[in-house]
Amino acid sequence: MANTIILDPITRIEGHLAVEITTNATTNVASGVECQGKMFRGFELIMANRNPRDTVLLAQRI
Amino acid sequence: MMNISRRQFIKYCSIAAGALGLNATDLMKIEKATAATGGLPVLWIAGQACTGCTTSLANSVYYQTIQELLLLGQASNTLELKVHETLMAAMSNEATQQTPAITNAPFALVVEGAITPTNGYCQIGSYAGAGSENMSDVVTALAGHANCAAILAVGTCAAFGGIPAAAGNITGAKGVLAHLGLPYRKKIINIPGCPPNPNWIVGTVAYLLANGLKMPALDSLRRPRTYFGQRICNTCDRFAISKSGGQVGGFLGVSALSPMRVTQPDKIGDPLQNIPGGLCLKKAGCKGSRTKSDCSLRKWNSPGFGQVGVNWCVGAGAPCQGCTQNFFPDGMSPFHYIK
Repeated sequence: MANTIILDPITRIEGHLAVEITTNATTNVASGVECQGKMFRGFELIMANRNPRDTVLLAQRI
Repeated sequence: MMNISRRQFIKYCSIAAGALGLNATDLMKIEKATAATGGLPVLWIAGQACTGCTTSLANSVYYQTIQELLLLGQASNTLELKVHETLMAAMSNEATQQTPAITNAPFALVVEGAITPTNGYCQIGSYAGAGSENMSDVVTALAGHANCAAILAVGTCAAFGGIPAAAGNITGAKGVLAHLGLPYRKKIINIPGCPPNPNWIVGTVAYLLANGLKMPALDSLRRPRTYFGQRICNTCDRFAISKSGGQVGGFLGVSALSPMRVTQPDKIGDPLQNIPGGLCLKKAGCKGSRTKSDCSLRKWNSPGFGQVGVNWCVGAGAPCQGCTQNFFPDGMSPFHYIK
């Protein structure tokens, strides 16, 4: 038997994070933890084919 | 903690009223609103954001500590931050389950960051009930709530899409108005900027409170006219100096053939002290002539209540990038010279 605890959202951080913890139902020992970054903007794709002098001023706002 | 005497408070009120373009009657309304308890409850939802707007708000002179920002919103009668993912203590279900208690009275929805309609690219937690983890669903549900008095799109991403919506993106990011559509247009106030000045955010909420949640005067891009009423060049020191005969060697002494090469560095002025002896930065790519905001008057990093800020981009020798306009960043590119 396994219990699953989902913490979503994790607050007091920058960005969106969720944590999924799997525990043993009898011993309450965590057997697995998964962290999920839940936001994607694709900055690398936006930077592609762009004037390098512009990328300095855009990538600083990541 | 900073204690404010009555004299300081009245002074602050009159300065705030001046900054907001209010008359004496409105000023009395502000005092009355400030005397009452309770600010405007705010649900601050962050989407595809960098949290820079939050950092800017936390830098406001209205609050000296993070406790004041979170707890004294009621006392200072500005933003009563009920839900703010980056600042609130509650986590997980405790955070998301507060929504019904807030939405039973008039509240303001503040959106920071762009909204992607594609499921999975931005999930923020089920603030609008179970099964609504997607940012776009949460915004749609809260914006359509009967008690939603105003939707403040804070930052250029939330207002117009901004950098997440720049060319090359695959998430389909867009601003609040583009996401919600025209039926919501009357509720939306755009406060663009990358990031926006904290006084623009707090001042807009203070105006809403002082005027019974009536919308301030807005321009065609739904920006408050008080803050985004005129082009930056109109009040820029550098522009004025250059126009009044200080144009030695042309703008900034920058060669038009090699824009990156500053041939007369002494004409930039003193970036640390904002000595207005510097010349116009247009040839270095300044977009001030196409950008509306009061940066040149209000400036940034204000040292105290109602005081003009320390400096601003152009004052520090950095050309304006036009971050308060709807076509930032693609329409303002290249940043370092004028095409």
